[in-house]
Amino acid sequence: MPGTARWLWREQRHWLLLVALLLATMIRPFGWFWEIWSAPDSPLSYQMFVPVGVLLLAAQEKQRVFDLYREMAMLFPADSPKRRGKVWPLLLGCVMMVMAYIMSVPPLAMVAFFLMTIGTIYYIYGPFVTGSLQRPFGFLLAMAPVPNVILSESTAKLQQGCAVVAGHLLYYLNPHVSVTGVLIEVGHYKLEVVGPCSGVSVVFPVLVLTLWFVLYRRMHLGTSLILLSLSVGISLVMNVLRIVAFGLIGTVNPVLAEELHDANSVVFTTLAFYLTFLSAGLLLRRWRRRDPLLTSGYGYYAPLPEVGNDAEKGGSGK
Amino acid sequence: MRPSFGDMPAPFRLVSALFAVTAALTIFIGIRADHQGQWLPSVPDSIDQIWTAIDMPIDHLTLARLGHPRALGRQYGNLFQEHVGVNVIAAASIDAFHEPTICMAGYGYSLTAQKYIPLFGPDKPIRAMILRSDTTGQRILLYYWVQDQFGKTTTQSSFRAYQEYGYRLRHGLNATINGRQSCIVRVYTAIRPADLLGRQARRNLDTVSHALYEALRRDNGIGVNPSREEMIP
Repeated sequence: MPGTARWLWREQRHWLLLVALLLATMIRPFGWFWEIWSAPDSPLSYQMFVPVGVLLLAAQEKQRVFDLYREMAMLFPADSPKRRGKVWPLLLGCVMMVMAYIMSVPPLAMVAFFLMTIGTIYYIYGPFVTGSLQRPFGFLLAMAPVPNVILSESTAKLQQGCAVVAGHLLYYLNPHVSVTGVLIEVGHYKLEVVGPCSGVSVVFPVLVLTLWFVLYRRMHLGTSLILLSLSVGISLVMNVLRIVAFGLIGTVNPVLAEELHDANSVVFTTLAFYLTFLSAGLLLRRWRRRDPLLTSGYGYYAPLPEVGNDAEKGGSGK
Repeated sequence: MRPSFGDMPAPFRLVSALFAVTAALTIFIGIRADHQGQWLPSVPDSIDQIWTAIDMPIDHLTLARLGHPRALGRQYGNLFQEHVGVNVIAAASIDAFHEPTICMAGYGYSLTAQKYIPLFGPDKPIRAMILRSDTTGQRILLYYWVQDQFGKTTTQSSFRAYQEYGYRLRHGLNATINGRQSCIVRVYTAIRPADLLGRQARRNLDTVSHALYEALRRDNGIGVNPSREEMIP
């Protein structure tokens, strides 16, 4: 790390000025977003960690970008359109940032931030180098503000859905269960599936973590889509299990259930992502064997493969 | 020789210049926006020796929803046990503008009538509303306006989501370029059951509103003689 820092200071110190100016511009918009991210049980709290993921993805691309840059420098002159982009995305970003300040519109500031960041790389290094950084830039879009309509609608739907499913599951364990809207009654214990228990605060972070994982592992589009869908399903199952657990605990110890109910969803988010991670392992093994059933889109009817020596040796397992 | 910022490659110079201009502008706008909302004029303790005021501070939750602006709450009462409530809120940010009917809906009141009237003269409109309780049937007459330091009034309430770009832009430019500060004023009273047409309520509200308007004009925080204010565009 000190070596990297020395190299940065020796060779790339002109970036410091740009980063400092960009940070000075972004202080107020990040203040606006901090209110959203730091709210209790905010489903968008994961967004504050997105820059870390972007940096990790960019670090992974470092050598490839350097090689591409050297290759381009050998092949084309400095003013070639292959090595220099247009300035308008950057200019548009700057104008939008000023407008966002004047109108106090946080989403506009975030879009301006994207344009300023990507526009700078595009202008300085041209379209090819910018294209080679598509994975970190793609993940940066996870910081995009989610419209309130989507958040509130998904929260309301998931509240009701999770309450109904959890009610059915609880019924098999305790027949004295009734569900009215988002209210579950287990004997004398009443459990309300409030907004933070809807599962949105588990689904969104797990989905974004999975997105980072598929980008980091450079997975194929098909595998990525399957894994992203799995992550949503696993998150929802975890959330339903959380509600069932509250219901069961509540019948024995209502005070403990209340405390757990009010606790945030970090534990369940971690568990859901861990299960998604395990699923990715299974999925990747299967994908590597190029199972015709899975690649033709009917893989979900096939039985799970026996993971053993055959798979490690590259055998078909059949 | 060690490289310095002077050795900056040509593309970086343009980007740095753009970033520097953007940062300078945004910092300037930020400072001007912070300056906005510093004006909270004093309101009279008594009006015409008939109405006397008691403090009724706005509750913390409401202020939090409005973005913690400077604000004051008063209740004026007269000998006939008639009361007029007053809220004066410094228009510190977009959040401070909040639709009054939405606030009142939280207390079980819904809007039944609305009219824009030039109470303080031409081009100085206010928004008059009648709200009715869904449970008790009680009616409330409410005046709402936004008054700037020069006595100009508008009826701008909340900025619906992010859609009202025009209003937001105008408000932001006013704060940034003119530095003109504003206060949001709400004046309200209950309409008594015997006052079927609400004449008495309206009379009370008009008296208090005129007194407030004049008080805000006098205490404009910029030392402008009220007699000259009309000349300022």
